[in-house]
Amino acid sequence: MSEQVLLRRRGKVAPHLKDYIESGGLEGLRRAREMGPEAVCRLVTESGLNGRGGAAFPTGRKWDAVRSQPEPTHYVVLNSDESEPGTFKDRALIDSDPFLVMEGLLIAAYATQSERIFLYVRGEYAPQTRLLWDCAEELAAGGHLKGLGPNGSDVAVELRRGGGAYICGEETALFRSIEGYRGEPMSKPPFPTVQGLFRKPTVVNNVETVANVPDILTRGADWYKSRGTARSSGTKLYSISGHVARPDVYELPFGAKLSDLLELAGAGNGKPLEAVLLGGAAGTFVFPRDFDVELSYEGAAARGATLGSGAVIAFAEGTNLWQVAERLGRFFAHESCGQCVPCRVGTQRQYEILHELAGGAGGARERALLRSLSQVMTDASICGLGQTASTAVRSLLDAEAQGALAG
Amino acid sequence: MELEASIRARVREIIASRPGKDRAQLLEVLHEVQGAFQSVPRVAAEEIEREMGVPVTDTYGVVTFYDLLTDKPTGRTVLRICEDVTCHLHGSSELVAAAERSLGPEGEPSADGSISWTRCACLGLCDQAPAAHLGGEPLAPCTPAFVEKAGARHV
Ligand SMILES: Cc1cc2nc3c(=O)[nH]c(=O)nc-3n(C[C@H](O)[C@H](O)[C@H](O)COP(=O)(O)O)c2cc1C
Ligand code: SF4
Ligand code: FES
Repeated sequence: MSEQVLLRRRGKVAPHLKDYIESGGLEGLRRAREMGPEAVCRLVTESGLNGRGGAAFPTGRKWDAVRSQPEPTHYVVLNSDESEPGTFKDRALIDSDPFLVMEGLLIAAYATQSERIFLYVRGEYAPQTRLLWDCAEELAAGGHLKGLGPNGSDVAVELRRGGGAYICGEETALFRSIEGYRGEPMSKPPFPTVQGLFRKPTVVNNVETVANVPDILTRGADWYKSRGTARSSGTKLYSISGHVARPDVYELPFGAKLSDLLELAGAGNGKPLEAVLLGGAAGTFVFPRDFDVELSYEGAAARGATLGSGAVIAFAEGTNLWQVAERLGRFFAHESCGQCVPCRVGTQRQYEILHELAGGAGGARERALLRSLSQVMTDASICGLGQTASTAVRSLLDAEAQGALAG
Repeated sequence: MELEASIRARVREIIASRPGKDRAQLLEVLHEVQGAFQSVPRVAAEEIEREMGVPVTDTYGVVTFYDLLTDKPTGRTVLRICEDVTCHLHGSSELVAAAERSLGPEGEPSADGSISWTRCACLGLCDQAPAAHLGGEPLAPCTPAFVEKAGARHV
């Protein structure tokens, strides 16, 4: 039931180009070159592939928007900043199949007629940075970057190591970071597809997103859509950790149930679970009554949850969830870039109140304050960090109000 | 000052090794400078201004923004201990306690300058919690005994 598409070479192929090609690698890129950029964008759109970085935007549409910009200079950026607490699937994917990620990127560059690919890898991922860079060099040496760029020019690859700031995973902050500035988000519009990196049309994609692309090219949109649900195509990677016997990355077709994933990972390790945090720090707490939630974008939304980047942290019965929330609160207070007041002050105040609740103090007044802070941050912050910094807290408050919280 | 001159020379070398001198090279240059001197010293920022045209204040604006860059000296090796959700469930507080005991106050280099330690957010190693980084490389799962050994070796 656990389906290995993205992870099929895990532990099997040493990252050498020769082995990758022997196991069917670079076939997608070859097909892409045959089809031409416009047809590649169309195929990816037909496949229903949505971005795996959290926002689930249709990948083909994003590519086509960049491809068809009148401004001739385009860029592709690999978002490998992966700093959402509980998330490590991109790390595992790069470890298991770095060439698959690179092949997807080369197809993206060709489809969008981009002259340059930027690999933005979080600074803490030194081993993965080396892997990706070695692959890029092997691909260049093998001539595979030739003729992919605009008017048959070659594509160049550049590397940037992140500086250890979660906010730089937000796409406009990521551009600022590459450009040599503080990673402070900019308000949208203009959207990256129109004015992105260096103000040029830019595609930003998550590692897992691009890893899906080579198979779409070789096996087609119908094959791809045959996995998943009507509105969420393909398979998804989940990083699961916490109180589980087998913390790891699991690949499941969209439409599987959260309970299936929990069983695979050996959740609770013999003990019942109190709750899971689904979607990382910006996600929601999900309680046992909702463990049958369908893992798809629409399935999660129907229960007021989100898949986010696919992080699942499990908490055994007896875990003090306010202490967990306090940690999330501290994370956001530390990671807020400080640019807008509602987020800078809001995340700090939220952390202070959560600290009280975690220590067993605080009552109705503090809870009401958390709710109004949440309202202000959600409404008045300019980027996703401030807008989601209180999502998990709100889900905890709701569960508590409904009596779903033990202890 | 001889030390100052050698820092400046090294910074010029780092900048020369990049494909250009434009501001978009700054983050990579700063990573290299941090790696060479365990911080971004004032003279390095001055040299960056001279070579790349990035004002010293801008460089410090960037340095203070990023957790992996500092203007205060760290140990030659930095131990980063993850204190985020999953690692906390798996005993990261014991690692922090061991570090406080054997490596001294957070952020301060040991007497011989060889090591310093700091807490950090999720390292993306939650499947191997509790996780740490030593000199930028993963160390997971980490144990209090390891932290103490690192202390005994360096203080
Ligand atoms: C605070 C914040 C952090 C983010 N971090 C990441 C990240 O680490 N990796 C990622 O792929 N997307 C991250 N995103 C989403 C990106 O802004 C962007 O939507 C994504 O990279 C687009 O790629 P996709 O369409 O392939 O998902 C983050 C967004 C926000 C608001
Ligand atoms: S919402 Fe927060 S993180 Fe985003 S720009 Fe505003 S202050 Fe920065
Ligand atoms: S919580 Fe420590 S590595 Fe993720």
